[in-house]
Amino acid sequence: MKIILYTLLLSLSLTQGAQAQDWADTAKAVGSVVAKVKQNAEETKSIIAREQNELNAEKNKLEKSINSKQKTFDAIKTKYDELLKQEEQLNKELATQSQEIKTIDGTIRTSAKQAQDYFHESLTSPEYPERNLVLEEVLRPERFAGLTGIRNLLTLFLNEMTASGEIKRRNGEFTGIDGTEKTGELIRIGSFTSAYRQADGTLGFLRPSPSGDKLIAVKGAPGWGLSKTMNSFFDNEGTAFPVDISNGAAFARLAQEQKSIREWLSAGGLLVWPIILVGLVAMILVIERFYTLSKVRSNSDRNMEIILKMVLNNEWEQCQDFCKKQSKYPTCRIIGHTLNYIGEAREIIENAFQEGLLKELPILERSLPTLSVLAAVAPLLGLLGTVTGMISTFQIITLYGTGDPRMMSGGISEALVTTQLGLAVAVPIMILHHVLERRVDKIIGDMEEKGAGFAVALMKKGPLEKKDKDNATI
Amino acid sequence: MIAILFLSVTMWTLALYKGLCFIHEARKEKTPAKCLEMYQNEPERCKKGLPVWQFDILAQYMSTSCKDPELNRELLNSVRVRHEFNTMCYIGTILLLAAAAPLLGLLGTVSGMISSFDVIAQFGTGNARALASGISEALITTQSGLVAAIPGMLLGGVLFSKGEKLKSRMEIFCISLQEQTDGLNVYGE
Repeated sequence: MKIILYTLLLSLSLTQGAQAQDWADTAKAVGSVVAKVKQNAEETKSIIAREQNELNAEKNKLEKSINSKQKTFDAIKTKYDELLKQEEQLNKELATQSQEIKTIDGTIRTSAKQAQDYFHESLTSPEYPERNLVLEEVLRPERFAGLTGIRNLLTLFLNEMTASGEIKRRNGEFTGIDGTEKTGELIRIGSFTSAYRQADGTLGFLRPSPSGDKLIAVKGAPGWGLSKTMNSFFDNEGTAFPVDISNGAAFARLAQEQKSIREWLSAGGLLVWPIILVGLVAMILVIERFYTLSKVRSNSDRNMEIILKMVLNNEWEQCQDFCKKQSKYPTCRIIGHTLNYIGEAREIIENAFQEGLLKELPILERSLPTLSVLAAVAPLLGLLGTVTGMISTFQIITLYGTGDPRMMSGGISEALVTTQLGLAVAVPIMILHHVLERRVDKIIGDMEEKGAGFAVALMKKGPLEKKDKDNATI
Repeated sequence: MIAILFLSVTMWTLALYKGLCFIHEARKEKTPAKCLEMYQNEPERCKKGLPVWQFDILAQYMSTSCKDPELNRELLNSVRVRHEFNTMCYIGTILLLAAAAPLLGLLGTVSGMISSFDVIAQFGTGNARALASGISEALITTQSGLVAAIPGMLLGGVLFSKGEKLKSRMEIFCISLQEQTDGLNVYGE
């Protein structure tokens, strides 16, 4: 560089060489310039050196900072990787946990659903109207019920448990059999049975309505005995109460058992009517017979003694009068009839007696044969009904098959009802007929016996009679 | 069911009563000659020592008999008929009750079947438990009807044949009584 500078200065001086006079000046000037240049160069050199130093220092510094940055970067990167790994792990964990939560949610929903179904059929629900709100909250879709929901659900179940162990009396509303709203005393026994008593004294059982928030009266009134126990319980006197532990099946039976007679008869078809007719006729005949026979006295021992005494004393007229007075005894009637023939030969008197007997017999035995025929006919009609019912059942089977038992039950119930009715009519007729027959037999036996005794008494009087007869002919 | 029970209780009571009566009477029974002798010698003891029918026939016959043998026979006949009636009393009832018992059983069967068909109409054939109650009612009543009827029939038959035998004994008694008293009358005259 110095050389370059010297040449430069030389050339400059050369250009100006022509001017000799100024040479010295020029040399001097050149010398000062050189000195200046030298100085400048020195300065420049020092500046350059300084700057170089500075640059170097700066470079070192930067390199250092780069190094440290790189280090921190590396550290952060490893940390980041670690975190990534952690995230992955956590994600996995989250997946498994969410599965679990889904299961729990499902369980809660199922149990809430079950609770809803159960409370719909529970007798306690009308007392806790807030139940539905809680259940709806728990059952709300796309939302997890949370701990409060679970707790509420638990409380519901616990409440139901306590309610099922208590007897609760209250005044409240319910829906009557006719569908109108009614109020009355209500009693609930556990979760089994609920019953009502209205102000006018009507009693009945209750069941929950389909929506679960009301009580509906059960069709079919409890019988006399049940009503008595229920009333005494309502009045806080009795300790017993009828309970249906079959969840409503017993009430269904209660309503069914109180099927009216008309329904029952209409189930029996057409053949019921002839059987009823037979029963009615038989009943009329039996009543008539009992009435007639109750007026007829069967045992006439005492009367006979009196009559025989009269006969012994020949008091014929009085005897006839007595017989007329005691005409409710058939025996006396016959003897009275026979007395008209006093004094005739024995055969004639016997014939007269037989005649009287034959006159009495039809009155006594009237309609007894009819009764026995009716007693025989009633079960036959029942049997006919059975066969008719079976035929209709089989016709239904040929038409529709055996798929629907309800279809067939019509014919079967016809068959059974007629049989039942036939038997129910026949058995009493049979027994009553027997009773009546015995009574008639007894009366006839009595008449025959007394008649024979009377005849004997007359015959003993044989001679006297002849005398009477002689008197009469004279 | 209650009807069958009532019926069988009545039937058994009657049968036992009747059977005891028969045994009691048969033990006291005596021959006609001895009866006559007893009646003539010791009339007080007679009433206790003889069966009711024998004493009754004897007393009535002795007090009302006359000389006409045909009339006597008729008188005896009529008295006998009354006692025959008393003998057969209740036996007919027992037989009738025995005949009615299976009918009542059948009635129970039918009503049981009706209730089980009601159950079918209500619940279908699925509810076997509800069905079974009706069927068991049907079967139990039939069974008890038959259980009541069979011994009733047998007892009735036994008692009936006993009664028939007693009847024939009565007839023999009456005939021999008449023979003997006729003899007495003859001797007396």
